[in-house]
Amino acid sequence: MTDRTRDILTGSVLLIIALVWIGLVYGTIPGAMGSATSARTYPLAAGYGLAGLSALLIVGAFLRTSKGSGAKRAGAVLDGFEWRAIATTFGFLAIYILLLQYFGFVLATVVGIAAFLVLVLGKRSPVLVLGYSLGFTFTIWLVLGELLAVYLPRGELFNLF
Amino acid sequence: MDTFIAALSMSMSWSTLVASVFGAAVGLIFGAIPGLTYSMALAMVLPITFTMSHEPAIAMLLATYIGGMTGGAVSAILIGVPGTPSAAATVIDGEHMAKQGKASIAVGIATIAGCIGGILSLVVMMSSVDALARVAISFGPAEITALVVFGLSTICGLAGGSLVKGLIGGVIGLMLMNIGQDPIDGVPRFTFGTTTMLQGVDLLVAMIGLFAVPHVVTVLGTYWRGKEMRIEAGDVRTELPSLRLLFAQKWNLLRSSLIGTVVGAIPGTGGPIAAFLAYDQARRWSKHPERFGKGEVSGVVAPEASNHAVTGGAMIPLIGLGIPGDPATAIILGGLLIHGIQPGPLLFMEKPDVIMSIYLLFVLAYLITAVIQLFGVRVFVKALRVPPHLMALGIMVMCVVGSFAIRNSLFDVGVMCTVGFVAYWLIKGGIPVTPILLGLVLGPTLERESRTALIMSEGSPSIFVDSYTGLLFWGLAALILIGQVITIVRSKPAASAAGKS
Amino acid sequence: MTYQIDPRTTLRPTTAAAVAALVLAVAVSGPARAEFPEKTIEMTTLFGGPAQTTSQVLADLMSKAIGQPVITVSRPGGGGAIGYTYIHSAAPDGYNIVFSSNSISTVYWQGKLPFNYAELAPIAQTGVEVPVLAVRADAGWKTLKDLQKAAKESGKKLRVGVSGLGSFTHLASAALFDRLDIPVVYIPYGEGRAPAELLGGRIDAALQWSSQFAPHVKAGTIDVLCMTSKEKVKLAVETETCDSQGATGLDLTIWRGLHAPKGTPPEVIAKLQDAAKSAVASPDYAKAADNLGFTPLYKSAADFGSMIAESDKEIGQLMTKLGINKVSK
Repeated sequence: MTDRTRDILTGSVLLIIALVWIGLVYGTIPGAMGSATSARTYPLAAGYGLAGLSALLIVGAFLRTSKGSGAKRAGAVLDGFEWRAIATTFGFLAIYILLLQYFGFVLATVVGIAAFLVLVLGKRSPVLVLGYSLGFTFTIWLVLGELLAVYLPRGELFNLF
Repeated sequence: MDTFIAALSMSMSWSTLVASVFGAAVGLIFGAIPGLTYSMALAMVLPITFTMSHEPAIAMLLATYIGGMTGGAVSAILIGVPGTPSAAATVIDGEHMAKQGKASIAVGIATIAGCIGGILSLVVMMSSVDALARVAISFGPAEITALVVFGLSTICGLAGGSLVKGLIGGVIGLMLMNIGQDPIDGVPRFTFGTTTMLQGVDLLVAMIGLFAVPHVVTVLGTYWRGKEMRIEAGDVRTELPSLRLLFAQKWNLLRSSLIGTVVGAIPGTGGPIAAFLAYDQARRWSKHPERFGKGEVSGVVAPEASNHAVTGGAMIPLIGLGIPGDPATAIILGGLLIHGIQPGPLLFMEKPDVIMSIYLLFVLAYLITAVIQLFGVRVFVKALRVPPHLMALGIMVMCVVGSFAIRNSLFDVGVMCTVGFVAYWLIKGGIPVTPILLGLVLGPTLERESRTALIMSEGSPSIFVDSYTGLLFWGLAALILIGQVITIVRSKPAASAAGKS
Repeated sequence: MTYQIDPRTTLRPTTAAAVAALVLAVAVSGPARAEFPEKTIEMTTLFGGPAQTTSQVLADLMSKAIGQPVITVSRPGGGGAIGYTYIHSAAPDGYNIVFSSNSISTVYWQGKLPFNYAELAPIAQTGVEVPVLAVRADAGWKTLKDLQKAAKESGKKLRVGVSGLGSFTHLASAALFDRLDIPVVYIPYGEGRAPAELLGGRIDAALQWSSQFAPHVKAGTIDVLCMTSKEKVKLAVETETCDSQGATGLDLTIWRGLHAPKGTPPEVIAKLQDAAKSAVASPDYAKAADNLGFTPLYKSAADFGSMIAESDKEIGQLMTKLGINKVSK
């Protein structure tokens, strides 16, 4: 992907988002009659601002080609590895949140870390898998949860400690 | 002099020392973990101080506050995720220094710069608390609006290649913070009728998502691609900055500390804006502005000196007038009140020894924090020997814990992931991260202050240019913007010429 | 090792994993019904600042009275709506309580809370806070009458600082200036900034807590004109009631107390109530109240409940008058 295509793509997506945003503002946030500003003022200004700027981005990208300097390759790579990284990161976070909600911090973290190490990173060493999952969880539980009284998530179904 | 000796004997005891060490350590841990901040650390430490006598109680609160400020730089430098919003500007150059194997120098100089900035702010405070408190209260909503716009003008310098993309980042930051209740009338915005969404997007939560999540994705992608950017264990030296390096920063230190002290003194502003302003000024005054953003030492010194000077600045209205400028100083005020110390002009007349011991404990807290942190550098830097992909897993867990702990809400964890997802694609689309953060930090202040100003003037916009202070900041902001446009216009012909050749 | 079964979740079709964990949980710990309390009690707090400090003092003292730790857990947001919603859906076992205030009425009438005070079980009232009206000393207004006269003569709207539009200080100010028949524009500030704005000369008056003004009153830069309660109470600043100063009938104070989820067993409520009672009666609490600027006041669960019912009605009517009642009754 070149710099130019990336800018056009980014600009178009943001333009659509801005238009949806403006629609939502008009539809859901009441304006106040007779006062200079209301809850609507800033979201609306931001929406129009984003629409204008993303249009500018698109126009700028088109102008650049005509001068012939847009052929530079953009740094963004989206290969299979990158997709895998995206899927595993957000997949892990989603599953971890669900585990936290039902089983609380200790259980969710031990299971989450161990599963990530084995299933995603392909680690087989029991020292690493057990050491990391148990050690890390215990350290956080002890230092933050017990010593510093930071509130760690409690499970709705089940709690260890 | 008698007061000084009395205060010295009161404040230098084993109990205050232990209290300071404990407070500094707690503050450092809270500060270093994204999501846990000094405000939380203070709220947690406060009940412990209930049963103490005055001096150790004050010592512990001040040390926690200061330790929390210092700790923020650690994660900013080592993993590129600011531990507190005030350390956000430190990421820009700090992270690059770490990648170049200079993590220990970066943390070291951040600590020392912070310590110097903090103590300088105290000196400023001691010499002119009365006058500065007066200046501080002359800042009303209209003047703060102008100051915030000036702060936003630093986007010009931070946008990297394209001003348009920088501005897009800023606007997106503002939009994210619009979700939830509006700050004036409490009208729900984009909540889709749910109570949960009334919580809105918390600044800290958004910040974690913005910095940490894209970092994790990139690290994992690089790992599978098989060319992990691993810093060799041998490269991670625990080397502290030399005196010469420090001496070269003297003007930067002084300038940044002054910015921090003044901004800190104004109620309703705070660390992040001070740090960004100092960073921007350091770049403008530097002989090598092109090195900024690539691991320049001055780019770490400026925000750290400035955000630490905010602690002294914030003490000005607190001690001088009894007015807390932010949630953290509000908790410190609570701690002082519980012990029957009512800060304000009368305290200076009635109990000068208490004021003096607050000053002394402030210095003590800085020295202890710096010592602990400098010893800690060895341990922190070892963390860099952990392979990045394994570290990424730990970062994910810590970010979830951190974003949960802010308001004890799983909703916030979801917001963190969502903001992270959005941020990842924005970065892929070429939108720079730092302007997004500026929008996040300054957007809500801008909205609250400007709308309050307009309510005050009953809708007349002339309130914004009514005072010289306001005019000054509008002028500065305009100057920066015009300067930027001129630079762009001048560089255009050069760029197209290069394209043709 | 403890376990907790949330009725909402067990009624839903559970996944295999959840069932397995449940079986495990029961097998491991076994249901031992010991006497309340057998573990840490969580007190949800809704706001930062002085209210949070007050809750921490209360929790500290209640721990001593009840024999188990009482910890404060901050759940801010939505003007208190988030914390109330959490408690509303928490297990009614007495381990989840909330440090409540009449914010429950203001958020309900603003339409931000789908339930009102009646959906929570009162435990005890622990204190009352009385806002005061403050003005700059160099304005030369020594009484409420002076202010009224000056405001009417100037023909301009009086600028009054409040904590936020729709907040309790806004309502109380509205009730006060309505009685004085003065046109007012309300400037919303976060809590704590009012003295700075007053000293800076950007507002004419502010309705806030007396402790904020105390140092300035002593320094002679700010005058406090009156308090909004009907009965005169001891505050950080000596002053008369607004009622006696011309705002006849004005009686608006903030109650603070404790609530539990509805359905919490009465004997558990009774235990919490007794712990709150001894905490409120302790000298430590009185000292904290003096320093932080609130007034200790204990009311039993029953008295507390009927007081809230009355206060809620009044707040609803006030908000209708101001045109910010989104529920309307």
